[in-house]
Amino acid sequence: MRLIVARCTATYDGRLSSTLTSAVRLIMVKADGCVALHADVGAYKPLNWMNAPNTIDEEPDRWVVRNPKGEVLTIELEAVLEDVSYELDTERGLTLDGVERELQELLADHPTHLEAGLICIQREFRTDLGPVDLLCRDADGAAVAVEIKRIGEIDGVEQLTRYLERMERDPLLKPVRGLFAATTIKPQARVLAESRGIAWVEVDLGRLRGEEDAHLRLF
Amino acid sequence: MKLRAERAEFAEAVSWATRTVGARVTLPALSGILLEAQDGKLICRATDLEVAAEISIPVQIDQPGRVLLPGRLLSQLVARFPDAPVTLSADADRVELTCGRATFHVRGMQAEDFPTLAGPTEDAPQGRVKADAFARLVSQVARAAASDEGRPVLTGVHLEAAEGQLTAAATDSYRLAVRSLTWEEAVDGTALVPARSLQEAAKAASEVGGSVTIVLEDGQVSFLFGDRRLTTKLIEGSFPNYRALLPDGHETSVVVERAGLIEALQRVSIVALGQANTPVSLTFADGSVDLQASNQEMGDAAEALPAEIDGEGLTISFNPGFLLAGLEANGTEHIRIELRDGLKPAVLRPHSADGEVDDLTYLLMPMRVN
Repeated sequence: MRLIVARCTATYDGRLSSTLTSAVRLIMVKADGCVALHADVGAYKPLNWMNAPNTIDEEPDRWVVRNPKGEVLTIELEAVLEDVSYELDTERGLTLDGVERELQELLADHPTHLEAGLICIQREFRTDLGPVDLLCRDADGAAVAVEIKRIGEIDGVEQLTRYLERMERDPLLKPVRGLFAATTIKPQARVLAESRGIAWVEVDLGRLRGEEDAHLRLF
Repeated sequence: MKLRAERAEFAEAVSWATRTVGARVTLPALSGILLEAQDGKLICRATDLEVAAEISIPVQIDQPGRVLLPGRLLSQLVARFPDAPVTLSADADRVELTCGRATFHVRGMQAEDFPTLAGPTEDAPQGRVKADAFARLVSQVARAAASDEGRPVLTGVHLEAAEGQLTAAATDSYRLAVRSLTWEEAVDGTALVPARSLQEAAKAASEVGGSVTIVLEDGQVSFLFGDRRLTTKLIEGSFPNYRALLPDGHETSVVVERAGLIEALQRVSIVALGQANTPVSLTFADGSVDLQASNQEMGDAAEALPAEIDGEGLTISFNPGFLLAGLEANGTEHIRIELRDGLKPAVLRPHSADGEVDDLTYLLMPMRVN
């Protein structure tokens, strides 16, 4: 992680525009490329940010961060007071939110909701990049790594890609294929997953919960 | 910045802007309401980056300017203002509000941090519809949208403008509501609008009256009425192909007096209150519809009313809340229920002897009963 304390201004152009006037702030750049701009107040909330995937064009006094949606965050550095980088341990981060935890539990018990013949071997399978939600075996006995999100976006696919690269190095697991599961998966995430040979499945939480059995559905 | 405003108008503007937008705040500036005074008007703006609201009121301006104030605090204050004109004067980040003998000093936020709201572009396709027709359309359809965020696409209302019609559809997978109205505007397009935002727009349309201009753009839709504008992001994803769900025939059709059926249903379903899986069964036979509900803990209830039945009699069970919503969406004295069997969806339509009814279809899946 790279941490820069600098007097800076920032403008964000995208669907909306916003400007931050000159002040001393913290710029945080994470290993996955996310850039966040923090003030000394506001707890965890950055003043502005740009999630990965993005590109950072870095010049001595100006950064231009762009993402595939065409949004642009421009940071003008007036004076850099500190610029340090540290290797942090990689981990999953915060515990799963309620829906994701529930999805993980239910899919671990009913993996065939994802794919016929799938068997769950382990929940939270540890890799040195963090735990994979589910390690499964398919009908042919091949390993399947399942990443579960409430909303499936590009960063979930990127996360699963990193896990797969790691798991492929394990001779006891390879070949490993990926399966991305969420209640809804955004079109860009689907395209990215497909381009990387990762299957994706949208999961109906209500159906999975098995509640409201008596209610028939239109679809 | 210095201005004078009428209390009622000011209070209404502030409260509309803040409540329309909701409480989700990801940047500190989004908890604020931006007040901008120029050219004889005060414009109040609020946004949570998903929905943006803007309202303008006439004011007396001594000095133009703008200020960003905490939204919740301001709306609580103005709700309690005495009945007297309001004076607002802002100096750097300190704002003084006086109303009658009450004086408040409020610390403002950096106005520059408030995101510029993307209003509708000049040449975006737009069309107008009467405010009351729009409000009615939304009210009849949005009730069928899902409230569970588990499937975000189902939390929206699908709007489609094509061939002189504006069609709205919503479904939560248990029921589907579709309504079309004539819309002779040269606008074609579709949008999946969050039901909550659409309902806020409809509410504003009812309050303001007149007509609503709907502006359809890539990724957002704006509703303009009188002195107000609501812009909302659209939901990404594919709405189900609802037209394929509409049955193309029926075995039995029933016409029954709507108000009577609603009252009977409300009475009978009291035993189902709070019991998510307790259905109400309707038996159509011999010129009447018999409603029944029972619950082991609460008890049971039954009531019958006359019905005109064309076709074979049958029994079908529904979620009472879903059925009630479908009955209430219709505005006619009688309602027509089209059925095939106890496990296939029923279709509710308005019924009138002179044939002048809304083009409304409410499709409702039954509940399975052992």
